[in-house]
Amino acid sequence: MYDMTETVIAVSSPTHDNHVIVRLTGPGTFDILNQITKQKPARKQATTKVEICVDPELFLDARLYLFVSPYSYTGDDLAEIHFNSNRALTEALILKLLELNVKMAGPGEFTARAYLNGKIDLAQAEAVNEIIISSNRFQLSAAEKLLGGRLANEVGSISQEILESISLLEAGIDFSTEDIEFLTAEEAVEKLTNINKSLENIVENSIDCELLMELPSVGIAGAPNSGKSSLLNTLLGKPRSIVSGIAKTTRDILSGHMTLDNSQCVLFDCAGLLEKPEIIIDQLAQQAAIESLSNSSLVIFCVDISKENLSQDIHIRKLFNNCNVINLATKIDLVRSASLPIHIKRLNDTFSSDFFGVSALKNRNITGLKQNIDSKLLQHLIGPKDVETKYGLLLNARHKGAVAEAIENINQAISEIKDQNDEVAAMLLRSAYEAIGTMEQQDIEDKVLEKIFSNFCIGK
Amino acid sequence: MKKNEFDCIVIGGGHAGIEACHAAAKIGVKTALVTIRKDRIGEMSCNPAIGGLAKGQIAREVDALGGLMGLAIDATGIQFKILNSSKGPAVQAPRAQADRHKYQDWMEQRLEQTENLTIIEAFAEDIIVENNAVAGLRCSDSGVYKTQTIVVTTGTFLRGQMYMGDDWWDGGRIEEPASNKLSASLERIGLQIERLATGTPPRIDASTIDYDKLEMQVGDKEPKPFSFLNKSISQQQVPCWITYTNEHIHQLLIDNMHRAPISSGKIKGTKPRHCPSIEAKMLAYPDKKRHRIFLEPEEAEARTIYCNGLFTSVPKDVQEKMLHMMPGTENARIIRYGYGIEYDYCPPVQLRRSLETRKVGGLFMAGQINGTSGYEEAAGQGIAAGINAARKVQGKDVVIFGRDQSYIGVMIDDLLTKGIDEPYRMFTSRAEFRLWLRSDNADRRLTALGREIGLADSDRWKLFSNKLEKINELKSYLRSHRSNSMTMWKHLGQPHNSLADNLAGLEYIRSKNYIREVIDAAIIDAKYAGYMEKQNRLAANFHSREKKKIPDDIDYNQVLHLRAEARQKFSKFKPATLGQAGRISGITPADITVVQIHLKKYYRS
Repeated sequence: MYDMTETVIAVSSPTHDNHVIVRLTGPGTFDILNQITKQKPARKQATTKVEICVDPELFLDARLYLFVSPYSYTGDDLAEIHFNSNRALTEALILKLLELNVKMAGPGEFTARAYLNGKIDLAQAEAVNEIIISSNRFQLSAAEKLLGGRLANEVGSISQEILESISLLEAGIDFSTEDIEFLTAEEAVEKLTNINKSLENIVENSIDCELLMELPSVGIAGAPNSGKSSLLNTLLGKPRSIVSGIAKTTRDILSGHMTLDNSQCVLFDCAGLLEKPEIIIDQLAQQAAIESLSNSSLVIFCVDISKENLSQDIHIRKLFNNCNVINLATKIDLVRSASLPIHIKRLNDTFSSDFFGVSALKNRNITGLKQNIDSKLLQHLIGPKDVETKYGLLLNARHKGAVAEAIENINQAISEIKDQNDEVAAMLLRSAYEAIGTMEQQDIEDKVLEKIFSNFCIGK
Repeated sequence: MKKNEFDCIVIGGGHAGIEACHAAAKIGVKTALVTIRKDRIGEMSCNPAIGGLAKGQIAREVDALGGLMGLAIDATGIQFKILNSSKGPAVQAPRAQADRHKYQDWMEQRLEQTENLTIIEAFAEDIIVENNAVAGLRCSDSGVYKTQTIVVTTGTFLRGQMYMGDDWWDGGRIEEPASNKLSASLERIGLQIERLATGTPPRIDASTIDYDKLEMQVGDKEPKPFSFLNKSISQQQVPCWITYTNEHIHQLLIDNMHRAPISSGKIKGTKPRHCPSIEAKMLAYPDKKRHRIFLEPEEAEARTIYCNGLFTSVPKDVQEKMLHMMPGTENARIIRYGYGIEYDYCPPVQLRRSLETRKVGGLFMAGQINGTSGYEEAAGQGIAAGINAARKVQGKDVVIFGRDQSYIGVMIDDLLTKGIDEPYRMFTSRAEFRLWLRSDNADRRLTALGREIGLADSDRWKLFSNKLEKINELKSYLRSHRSNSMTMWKHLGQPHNSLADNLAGLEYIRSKNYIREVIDAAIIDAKYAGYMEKQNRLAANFHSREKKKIPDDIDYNQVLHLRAEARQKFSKFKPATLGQAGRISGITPADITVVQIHLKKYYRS
């Protein structure tokens, strides 16, 4: 478990960002600040400018946001140190703090401390977890619903039904000398079977948090010079946004991170799809490209609308068979507006698909394309279900495990009731109740806690 | 030691007091029982029966420790029955009707013969406290008795007020005076006192009942004794009788509701929900067409009949009319009318797990004064308080009964962590270790403890060790021999297995001449073996948390980050372990973690 007597730090900002936030929490927070700042801030709720002595020679201008216990996120004293820096300077500060016996926060420790200090309940803590790692707004709204107690509502009513069955069963045991039939075996079996149906429904209509964790990838495919690179740059905003290259072959598959209204994705330019790769290096590149395409959630297939001979494009289209494809007629600025429908129709006929015209250069129809990508991604994420209304409950592995355990216990209870072992059935139902209860706040064992909190990202 | 000096004085000769003074004397300290009337020792103020669901288990536990309740009912019972016999063995419990006069006589005689025990007929009036510890007891016989320990077991006598219709009068029990001075004494000591209430039904002349109109209910063919020392019950069994109320009676009660004390608002104490009066049933279950009434004989040759289910405090004329409208009791003559009674109790949050008050060293409490109801609940606390009072005198460690060990433990822990809002009665559902806290194995749970503390005598110990050896021998045979391609042990754990029925007939078993109890114990253990694992898993936290003690002097205002509600609850209940802390209502796991962290700091510094 976390040792709450320790003072811990975490870097809370993205590593590539120049604006660095280091967060410090625990009983020693102000002691530490006094040791590293010239100004030695008082222990009170405040924002203040300080100079931090990273090294006798090196002072760093920083802004402190001070939160005094219990009025902080964690419930302990907490300080946020904001400064403009680079990686080296950040590391130097962290090393300095570690020398002062401050510990690096474990995964999720800030939220764990908030929970242990009673600042948030377990379901809230888990929801924070989901928010930290949620990769798109769709998921965020589910996480927000969790925060708002939607889980509690859904499962709460089932919990109540289990509790009712337990009490009827217990009444039958403890008040068997009364002339009251509390619950016949048949009624009990029926009641419990229905409860299990509701639980199964919850699992069936739920969405895996884990599934959503991985960002979907969107591949841009097309013949050389079909406008893939300029489309990529336009979609990502700046060429600089291309942050990583996946060095699989000598030719990189370039990719970037794109944020849409409802989703986020990794966009990659699938270069290297050739009609007839001649040298071996091109063959490898082609294999890699095809592999990435087949693993992607969505393929944007680009065809230069002004191109006369489409044989190369036709060949490339045959290299992948994803079901989720946006067919794009690029460079529409090269044809006259009046003849655009005719050109689109030619492509539609050739590929037996509907083409959508854009111009990366003139930024025409790019917004429409983004919306198109957004809705295709959502459909891909949640399957054929209605995007707007039926995305069910967001369940993580622990929730699902708990529901599965409850179902199993109830099934066993049903067979014990049929065998007249009501006292055993009652015990099994209690554990079903407790299994669902662990989603909220009842009798949570240390192990469960450890498990949840080790899944956490650092910081809020 | 002088004549007027004792090690332990027990106030009250009811079911708690009997076990308390017997246990203390037996353990070997000089004990006195102060009671208003010697001839009322062991009086069954209400139902003339011992045992029942969950209560039967407690009675067996008291016996397993070396107490008297089981022996008394075995000697004086007139109808024995195992309840829940169609359900699993964990929730089966013995119950027996008693000849209440014989039961009383048996108890009185037994106490008179008990070594180290003096019976004093007097009112206990004032507990003398010096330096926050018991120093003596002033009694109405103008005597001041010196003592280090006192066990208060006053039942309904403290400022007892009885009522029927509009009438209210002082009294501790029918035709017996209340004890008012002792209440004042407890208040002077600084104990908090509150009120509870309960009631009792009318008793009727057995010769005025028309039995032809009643259903007969008989006991078990082979009555099973309560005590582990007894092999069988020899006395004659008598039947009970069943009749029902009807809509005319219900109308009568509704018409006279304004004359029933429950509607006057005069009753301050809370009455038990598990034992409602017949008029309260009219309000709670208006749709029910009839209520079942058991007519239970109070003697072997019945002179009076107890109307079980007809708890009431309506005026005399309504009680008479009601009985005369019921089949079988049309001409019944009431010997004693039903009445309600309100009495003082001391909310048990003031106690330690030994049942000693926090306020005054050496002052113990047991039974209804702690807010419980029932003879068995009283006896269970009585034996625990008597044991701990004696050990205090001897300078020995307190004995704490665990929730995983006995219903006595469940009860004491509940009293200390849950608070009382109605008279507390035991239910099997209160026990999370129910599959282990059985009637059949009470000896295996507690006799070793009884032996260790000097309460279970050598005869009991010999009988028990012999039985235990046989059980273990049989269990290892079952584990090492096969039937139906699995071990017999495992086979016995299967649902609907025929082996359980046939086991006694197997040649090996027959050759060993095992008694029925040994065979049953092995079968029951095998049946529950798989579930026991699950039960223990569910309670995995229990043991680790029970081990984590919370020191007495902890100041919850010093615990950082504790929620206000938790701070207030912990300060009130003063839990002795983290386990207890977690069982207090409204306490969250986060509160426990906060306390746990504080304890770490506490022990470090």
